Amino acid sequence: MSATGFTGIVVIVLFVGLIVFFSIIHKDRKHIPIRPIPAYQKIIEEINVAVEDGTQLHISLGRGGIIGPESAAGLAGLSLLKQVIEKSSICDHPPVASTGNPVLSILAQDTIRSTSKAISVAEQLRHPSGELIGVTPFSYAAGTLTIIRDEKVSANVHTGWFGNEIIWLTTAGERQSSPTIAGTAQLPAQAIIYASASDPLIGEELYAGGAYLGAGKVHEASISAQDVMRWIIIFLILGSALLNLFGINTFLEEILAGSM
Amino acid sequence: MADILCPTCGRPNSKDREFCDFCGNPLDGALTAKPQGTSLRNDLFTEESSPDLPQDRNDQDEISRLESLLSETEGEGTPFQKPTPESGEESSRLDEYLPAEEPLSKADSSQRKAAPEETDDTSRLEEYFREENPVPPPPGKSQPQEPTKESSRLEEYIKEESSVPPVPENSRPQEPIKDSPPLEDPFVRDPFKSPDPFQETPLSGEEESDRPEEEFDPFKIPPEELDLTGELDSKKNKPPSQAEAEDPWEFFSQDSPGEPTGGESPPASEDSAGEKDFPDSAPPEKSASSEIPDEAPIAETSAGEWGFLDPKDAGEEPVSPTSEDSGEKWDFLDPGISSAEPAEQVPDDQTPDEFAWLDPGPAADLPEDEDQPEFGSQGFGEDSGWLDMLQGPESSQAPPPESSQPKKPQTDWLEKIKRLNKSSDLVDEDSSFPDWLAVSNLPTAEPEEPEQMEPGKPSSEVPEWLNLDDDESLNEFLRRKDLTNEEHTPQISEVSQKEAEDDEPATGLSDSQQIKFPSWAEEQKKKSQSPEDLQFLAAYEDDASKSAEPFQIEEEFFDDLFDEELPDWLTAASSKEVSQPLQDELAQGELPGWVEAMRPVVESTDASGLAEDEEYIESYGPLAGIPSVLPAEAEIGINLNETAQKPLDLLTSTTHQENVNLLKKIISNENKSRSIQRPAPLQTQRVLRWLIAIVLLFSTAVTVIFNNVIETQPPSAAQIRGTSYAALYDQIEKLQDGQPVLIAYDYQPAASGELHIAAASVVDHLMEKGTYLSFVSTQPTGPVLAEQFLASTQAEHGYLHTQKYINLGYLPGESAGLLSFTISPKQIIPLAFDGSNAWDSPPLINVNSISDFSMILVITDDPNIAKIWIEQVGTQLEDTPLTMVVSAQVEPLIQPYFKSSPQPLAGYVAGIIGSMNYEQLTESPNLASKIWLPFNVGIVISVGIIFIGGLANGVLSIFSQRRTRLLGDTR
Amino acid sequence: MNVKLHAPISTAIAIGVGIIVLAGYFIPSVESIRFIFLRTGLVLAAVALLVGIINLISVHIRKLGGGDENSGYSLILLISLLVTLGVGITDMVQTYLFGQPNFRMTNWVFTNIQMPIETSLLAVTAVSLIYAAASILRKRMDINAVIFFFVVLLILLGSVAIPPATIPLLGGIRDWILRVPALGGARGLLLGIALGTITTGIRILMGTDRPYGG
Repeated sequence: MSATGFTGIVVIVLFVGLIVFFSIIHKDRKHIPIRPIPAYQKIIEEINVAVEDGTQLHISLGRGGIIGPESAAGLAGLSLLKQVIEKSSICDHPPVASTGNPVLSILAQDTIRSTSKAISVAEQLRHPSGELIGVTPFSYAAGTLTIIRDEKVSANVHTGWFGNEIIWLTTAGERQSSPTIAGTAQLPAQAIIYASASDPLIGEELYAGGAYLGAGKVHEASISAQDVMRWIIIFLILGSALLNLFGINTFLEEILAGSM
Repeated sequence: MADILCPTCGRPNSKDREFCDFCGNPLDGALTAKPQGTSLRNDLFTEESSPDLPQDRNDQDEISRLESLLSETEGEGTPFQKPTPESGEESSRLDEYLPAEEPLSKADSSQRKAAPEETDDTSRLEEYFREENPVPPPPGKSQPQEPTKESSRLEEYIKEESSVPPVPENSRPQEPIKDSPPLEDPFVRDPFKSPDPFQETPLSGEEESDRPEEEFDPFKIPPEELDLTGELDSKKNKPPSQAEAEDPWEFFSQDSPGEPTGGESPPASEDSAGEKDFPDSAPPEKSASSEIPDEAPIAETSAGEWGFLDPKDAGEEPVSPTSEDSGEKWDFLDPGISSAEPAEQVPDDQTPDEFAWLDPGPAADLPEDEDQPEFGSQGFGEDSGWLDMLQGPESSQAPPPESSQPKKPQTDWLEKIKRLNKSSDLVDEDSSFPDWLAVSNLPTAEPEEPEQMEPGKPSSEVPEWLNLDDDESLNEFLRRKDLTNEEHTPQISEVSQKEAEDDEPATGLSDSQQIKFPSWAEEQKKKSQSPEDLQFLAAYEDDASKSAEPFQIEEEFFDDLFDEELPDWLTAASSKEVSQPLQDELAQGELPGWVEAMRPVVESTDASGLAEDEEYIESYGPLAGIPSVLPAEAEIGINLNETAQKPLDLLTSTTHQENVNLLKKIISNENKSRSIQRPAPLQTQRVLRWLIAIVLLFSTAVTVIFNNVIETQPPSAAQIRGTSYAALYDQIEKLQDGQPVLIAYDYQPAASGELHIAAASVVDHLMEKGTYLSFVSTQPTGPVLAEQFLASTQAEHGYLHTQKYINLGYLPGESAGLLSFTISPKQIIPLAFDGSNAWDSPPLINVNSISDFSMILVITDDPNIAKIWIEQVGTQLEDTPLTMVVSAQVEPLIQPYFKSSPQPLAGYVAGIIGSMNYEQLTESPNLASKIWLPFNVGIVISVGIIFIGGLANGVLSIFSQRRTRLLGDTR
Repeated sequence: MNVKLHAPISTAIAIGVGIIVLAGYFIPSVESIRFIFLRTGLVLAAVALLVGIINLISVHIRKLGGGDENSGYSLILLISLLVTLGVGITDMVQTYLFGQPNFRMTNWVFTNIQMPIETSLLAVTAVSLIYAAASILRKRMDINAVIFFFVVLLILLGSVAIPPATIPLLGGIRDWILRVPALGGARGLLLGIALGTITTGIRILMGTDRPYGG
């Protein structure tokens, strides 16, 4: 087993243990204190507005698939889609979803169908949204513009894997004077989102939607586990810097080299 | 027994008293109280007031009287009702109980004469309800129903006022409850909000007359059921539902839902009085009855209640609802019989003469009719008139038009009672009454006949049993009623009963009957547990005053009270009316003594412990002169619209008022729609957008048009040392002719403008080195992009497919597919883009894994794809260098892989700048050199636009924030 | 009795396959099994593309039938799709049956239609990005936005290589920004994204998140 493999297993096991631990710790607590993220508060507000106005939310899941690093962003978008559907079940119009990846499209429709079935929203069962808009970034962006410009859409939530094309979606929302909540795992797209979206999700905030929208204790526990792991990484970076400063950097170099 | 009623307080005083023992006022002018047994009604409206009647009543007489009561109402329209002179007299006796309802009495015609008065009273009553229901009653509506409705409405009103559910009065029959369901709705649901309950629920005469025929056919009753006691029993044991279905007068009970469940049939006037004379007391009883959901148990209970009266059944076996058992229950009415003989034999014991007039014939419907008299319109009329005066002094001031005597204020209500009774006579005339109740079916009695029945002149035609004192018999019924109520109380939980008892003083709706239960009925109950019921009954019948002393006191009191209160002119009027035909008497708006006796006021206050209120003497309304009563004005005659506010004005403390204000504020805030101020949406700056586009397009276009290839000097060695493009250059320089190089075209067509320029010099360098190129792409458009790249940028090299390069096509699966390709490329992509064998070319024959390529060049605009290649493929490579040509945006992310050691990334070219550097390094100007000037001009223009636009927007934002702040301060 | 077996079965399959593939990254002995699953996943992903295209066609056919205001675009999309599909099939037939070289018609369509369109879209993206950078101070007037604004200006100016703008100091600042703060920030963001990715994957492996309708 390589050092990278060993490290990976340790990280995974540690993560699982932390999630289980915090799930047990937080079992009896209604809510754990987590820092507020304005974008998720905005999502809840927009759900309420959609209920009052008889409008709907548009959730674009990006063009990331499920096989690869971008899969996490797509799955986070699916989780958020599920939560939004559950919370906006009393809307006159259910949320509409759009994807730029065929696999994600199937999963989105399955999520919409199963969630709608669970909350007895018949319309979503008949014609679930989440269709494949386009297989290339700009074809997907161009096809999504028609949904954003729909008068029934009161807010847009872009969570998933996006590239530079996200600027099209955010500026289209601005033109429609509708709030735009956006988050992606691509760094260049994050810069674009920060500059153009009204409520950006930066970095790992994209994956914390379940905890902020009430998906369950495990989501909240995973947030706590992330924080613990973040501190561990911080100490490791500081430690490695000190080791490197003192010339003792063999261990980390071997890990980076993939052999141990 | 008081002889004189105080004109001020109405309390009885002995004759020798000059001043009232209670209030101290002189008793001059006080009315002399009639002996017990003479009722006000007898004095006023009946010719039959027979003070001489013995107190000890004949059992036979009682039964016959009861039966006569029942049969008269039942037998209307039946052959048996053909009145003989005797029957006419009897009916005149019964008029006391069924004053308005007795249609077969001869007094009917004389009562019709009093119709104007009655109409006046009826209109008065209508006015009372019109106050809350502005819609006037339809003129064409049948008069008999209106008073009924009014009374029921009034009951409902009282019920609502008292908010105390009624207690069942078992002594009342259930049948009358049923026949007017339409009348129930407006009163039960919302008695005072209905615009016109009289219009809403008119009970047409057809309905009313049809219903008894449909639901009950008196002719179907076999002759043997003419046995009155048996009928009574069967009626009593009849399930309430059935009984109600047969009862054309059910609206009374429906209006007072919990009313009678028992089958006993007290005199009709008693029942009606019981309903209407006790607006305060009835509701508690009804509530108890309303708590009895199941009707059958009620019947059983009612049977069981009276079972203790039966020596056979008492305390031994459950009372069956058969007529036999019920008949036994009625044995108490005949003390002589009850102890020895079964109830069924009672009728047999009656002499034919006594019951000849009662003989309904085969068509008689005794079970049903026995209860009808209870809801006689006269009784109702009395009650309506009595209650009518409760609405307020204004209404009570209307004098009867026909009264020639000076009116005394305290007797106005009696006038109205009288007029209402007369109005109730219209009921008899109205065709809406069932045929069997119709007066017209009976031979109209000669007017002279009633006149012969002078009060002081006992008619020989009147049977002896009819000469019984009416009040005595009525008292008997009341006792039975009490008994029944007492027997019903066990059905209700003791707690609720206790609560009812406790609540009564608070609500002020005391029920004399109910109050009497603890004292009197408890003893009866105890006795009923023993087989000595008959003894109790005998004792009860023989010494009624002892067994029901409170009741007797009350009855006496009221009889005396009303007798003394009667002015002379009223007495004269009554004497006149007494001389009128029998039907006249029946329709008189008299207030029977037994009705008065049911008034709970005196006893209730005593029993309810309202000792502190004893000083209060009612000086208004029908209770005028009665001490220890709750003020009626506070509850009756109140505008409902004001009732909700009055308590707030009068009873609230400061804290309460604050709470009320707070509640009002909360409610008012709820009604206000609160506008949520959402932040104004950011308007897009279309001008800026168009300005940016125009400036960029113009500047780059001009630059491209007038562009010349910029002569650049190759960078110095110091400048290129350690750079990524120099590292890439070195890696390519290491390659030899024919060595396989894998190029991944992993970018989107949109990025082709940048990446084609950036990769042109690198691929050109590879081609110059003579390497065998293999193209692969994890993007669906990659293979075509590769072909297009070769065709557009490297056409001069003349690379042919499968000879100098191979296009392996699309590699699906993204990172996973890439990993698989890394492990086993031949298995993952066996065929080339054109379908040829991808691995047949000589440079690729020895390629079994991705490490067998001499170099890997990844062209991508996606940092993630670059990372995948570095992390997934770069770690699998042994000596094969991984290099990249990336978009400028990817450079910051892949730079650490190049800077780190060992280097997962051997070298890269980033964007046009990197390509320009590479071209400078290779000293072969290419696409980057061509677009270098427009590119830089475009950057400068972009910087200028961003700077100017950003500053402008910043200033605007500052001003906007300040304006918002100022607006907020202003608001 | 209605027992829904598909939910637990699909969940068990997802968790089991995920654990095996994850273990294959770290344990060499499991790598062969992982490879099988990956191959299967690749085939399914390719089929998913076909499913997605069919879904796209059905959606736009429904829009056409429903009288949607954008039905014209749907019609154009369907026509384009059918034409491109026909061109692709024709090229495949010519290439695989008659040995014609390299999908000529497909290349023509790609080169003359798709690539210019997408390139133009990227050019418009450049305009949008400039606009976004210019208007960021209008969206949020805070210290972060101001820093963002001036860093953009510095990087762009440092990228200019033409003589009037070739200020050595700007180039050095640009390189420093790219190497130190930008790279550090990007690393930090990537670490956070990596942590989020791990937690997302673990939640799916634990069955807490079931995006497969289980």
